[in-house]
Amino acid sequence: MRIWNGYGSEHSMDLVLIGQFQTVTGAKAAEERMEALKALAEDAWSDDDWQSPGERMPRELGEALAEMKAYDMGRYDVDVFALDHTVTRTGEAVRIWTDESDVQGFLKALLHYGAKVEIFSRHKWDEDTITRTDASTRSDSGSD
Amino acid sequence: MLSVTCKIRLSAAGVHLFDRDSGMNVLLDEVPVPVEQFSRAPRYLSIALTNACELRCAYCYAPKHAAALDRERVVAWAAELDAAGCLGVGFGGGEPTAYRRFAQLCSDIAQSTSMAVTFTTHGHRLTPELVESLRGAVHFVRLSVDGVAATYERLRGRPFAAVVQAAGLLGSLAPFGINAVINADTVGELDDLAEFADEVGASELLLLPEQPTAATPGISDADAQRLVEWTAAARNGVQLAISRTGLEATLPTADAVPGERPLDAHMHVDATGVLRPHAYAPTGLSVGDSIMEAVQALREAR
Repeated sequence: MRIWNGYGSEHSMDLVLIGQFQTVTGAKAAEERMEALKALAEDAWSDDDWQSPGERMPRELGEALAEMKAYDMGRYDVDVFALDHTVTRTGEAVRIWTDESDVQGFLKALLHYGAKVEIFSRHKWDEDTITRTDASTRSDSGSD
Repeated sequence: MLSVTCKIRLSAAGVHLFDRDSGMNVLLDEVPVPVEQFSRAPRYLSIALTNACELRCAYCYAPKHAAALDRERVVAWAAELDAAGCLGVGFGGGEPTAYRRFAQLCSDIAQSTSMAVTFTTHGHRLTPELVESLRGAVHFVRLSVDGVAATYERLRGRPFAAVVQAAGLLGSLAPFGINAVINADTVGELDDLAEFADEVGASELLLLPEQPTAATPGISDADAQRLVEWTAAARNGVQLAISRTGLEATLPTADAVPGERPLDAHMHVDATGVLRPHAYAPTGLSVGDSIMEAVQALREAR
């Protein structure tokens, strides 16, 4: 007989997009659109993405995007909204923090409302102190 | 009278009893088990729930493309594995606490199976609220701590004080261990790591000699030798463990289950749903409807 204590063992882009709008109304509209896309992405069909990568556009998603008049978006554009990211708005500026390098969906959502967009890596770019504080707070927060 | 509910696993080594609450293993190696009764699942399965992680450690082996597993699919796999004699699942990534509804997933599996639920975390997303939601749903946690103080902060880009705080939170949740990648940066801090693990109340210090990735060549022969010499001389308050990395022959490791083949001991599912012999394996088999079918196919392919 052998007796021991233990469990099996296992082992484990920091981007900012800034959309600058000409009006607060435009920035608010983009912010709301992204909230809607996040809700859409978090619905059950989004989880199914990894199981059926060959499917170009699930019908429910196509209908939802058409209803939003987001005719330029595809399923992979929407999927970025299901991954961990944060959207904030200050006046005419909308900021998006994401750890993923796939950002086309975010870009489309910003450009749809006429934004001028900057994208940079927080690993390489020091933005002003206030913005970096916001970002680190977001990174360390609970996620569930 | 003490009452313990054990999970039973049958193999060529004998009858294996495991209690997930205490981590106690009893192997009745004097009991012969007929081949047809051997448990078909690996003893342990690690699952990368997501590739997402906000840290960018140079030695990380996890793929960087976006991928995450479907939660219901993971729960279904767990039921299959449980029925086939698997003793535990361990979640990693990426960072498993970045996975949506992570606590719900752990809870679902803890309630629907008799397997141990464990996970490995960098700790920086742990909050009192998240820890509370995980209470009763996990049996062991591994906290990644590479080096101490300034070395940790340079490698991980986060304050060392934050990981000390994370260890404090975990201490209230479940037994936990410290994982440390050992390379040129950390091999000189083994004493400090062991002291840290002891001070924060960890039950184990798991040494992970750095593995080669596209970005790093892995631990050097000289540093591996330093690690071997340190473990030979170490007198620690914390139990040491080491990953399967080729150093077993030069270290006085305990072989938990004698004669156990690697694929009987452990398998890994990555965040795209590919079953691999281990996390560093370059190839594997995509899991279809049944993970046990994939387990069988992987065994037959090797």
